Amino acid sequence: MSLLVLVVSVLFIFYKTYRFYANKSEKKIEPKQAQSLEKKQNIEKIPKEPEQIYRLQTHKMKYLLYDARSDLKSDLKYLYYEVIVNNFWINEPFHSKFYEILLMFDRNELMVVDKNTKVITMNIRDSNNKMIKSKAYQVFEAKNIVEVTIDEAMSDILRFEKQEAQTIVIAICIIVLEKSLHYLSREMPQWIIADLLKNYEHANDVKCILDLNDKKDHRLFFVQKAFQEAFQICETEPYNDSETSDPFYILKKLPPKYLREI
Amino acid sequence: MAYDQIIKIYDEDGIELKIVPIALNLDKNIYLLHIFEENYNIKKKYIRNELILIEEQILTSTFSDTVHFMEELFLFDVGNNQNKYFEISQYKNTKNLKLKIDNENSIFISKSEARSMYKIYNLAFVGYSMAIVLENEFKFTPQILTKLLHDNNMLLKFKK
Repeated sequence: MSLLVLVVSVLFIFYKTYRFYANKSEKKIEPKQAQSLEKKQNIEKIPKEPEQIYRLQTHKMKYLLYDARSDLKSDLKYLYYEVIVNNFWINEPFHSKFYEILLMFDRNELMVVDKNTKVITMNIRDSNNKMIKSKAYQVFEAKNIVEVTIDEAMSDILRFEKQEAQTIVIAICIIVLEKSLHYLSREMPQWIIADLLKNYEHANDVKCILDLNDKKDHRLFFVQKAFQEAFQICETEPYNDSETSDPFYILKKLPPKYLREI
Repeated sequence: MAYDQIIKIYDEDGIELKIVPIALNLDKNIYLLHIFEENYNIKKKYIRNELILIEEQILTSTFSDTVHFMEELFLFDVGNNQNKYFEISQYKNTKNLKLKIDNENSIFISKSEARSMYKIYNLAFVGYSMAIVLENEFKFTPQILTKLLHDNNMLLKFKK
């Protein structure tokens, strides 16, 4: 009986030791298995990223520009596009100053007297049988001269640095203003020029260019040549000094800019 | 008459008018500007106005003034100091007419010049009807006349 108990107890001890070692080996394996399982689960959990489809950027960049097509009635709107838009010269204060000058040329009937004009004095009886003396001239429209001169000189202007090129463009406008008359009132444009340049940052540079042009500097030869061509290309208009003059239009506020695609 | 110089203007009734400069004296740059309308149905031409252009001045703008100018020219030294357009000047026993206009150079007209100018003036009306000019004269305004001269290249110092 005691032998049986001994055998049973020995078997029990074997069993226990077996269990002990078996548990130990199981415990060693478990974390590895757990990790691999977790990994497997994680791989399953990560959602598959949807395939990215990038759209082509087809819309154009928008820039703050003036609405030249509706503001300017004459062909000066094409000059705005040629000078500002084509060259991306939208930096201030040049952009606004140039537009202000264009508007002034557009709204006012400024004229440049033709060098080859005869001045014909007319003695004409009016409807009240009064003899009225007037003078007839042949003139150019100042807006046409500005447009053609800048157009002719643009390829040469672009050879300069941006800042200098812009100053030359403003200077050409001022030269035309100096030559032009508003219904033969010679005093008018003088204070207009002073007024235009008063608040302009680069006014001194413009005055330097004007001085150089007066001295017929060889570096500005292309400007003089462009003027000569403009006077040959532009058509002349008849003008009689008995015409009633319109008041001079002075720009109080620039029209707003709009975001526009180029 | 230089027909290549004809250009068109219209009166208030929309009738087409033509202008032809007729040289009375080329040395002194004196022209008669002939303004007329043409009726193609009855093949008739009607004078509507006559102007006198001297160098760079339109001296007369109505028909009556133009006739007055030509008559003073015709009278020559028979005219007196009441003349409107001419004064009689005498140099070495030769009488001349001096134009009373504001001009840099004074213009003198000799007797033969005056006679020839008057002759051309009379010849200029041959073939034209004078019926309308007195009652329906085309009256110029400075603007229309300026446009007319410009279109006719008469405002240019040197013709292109």
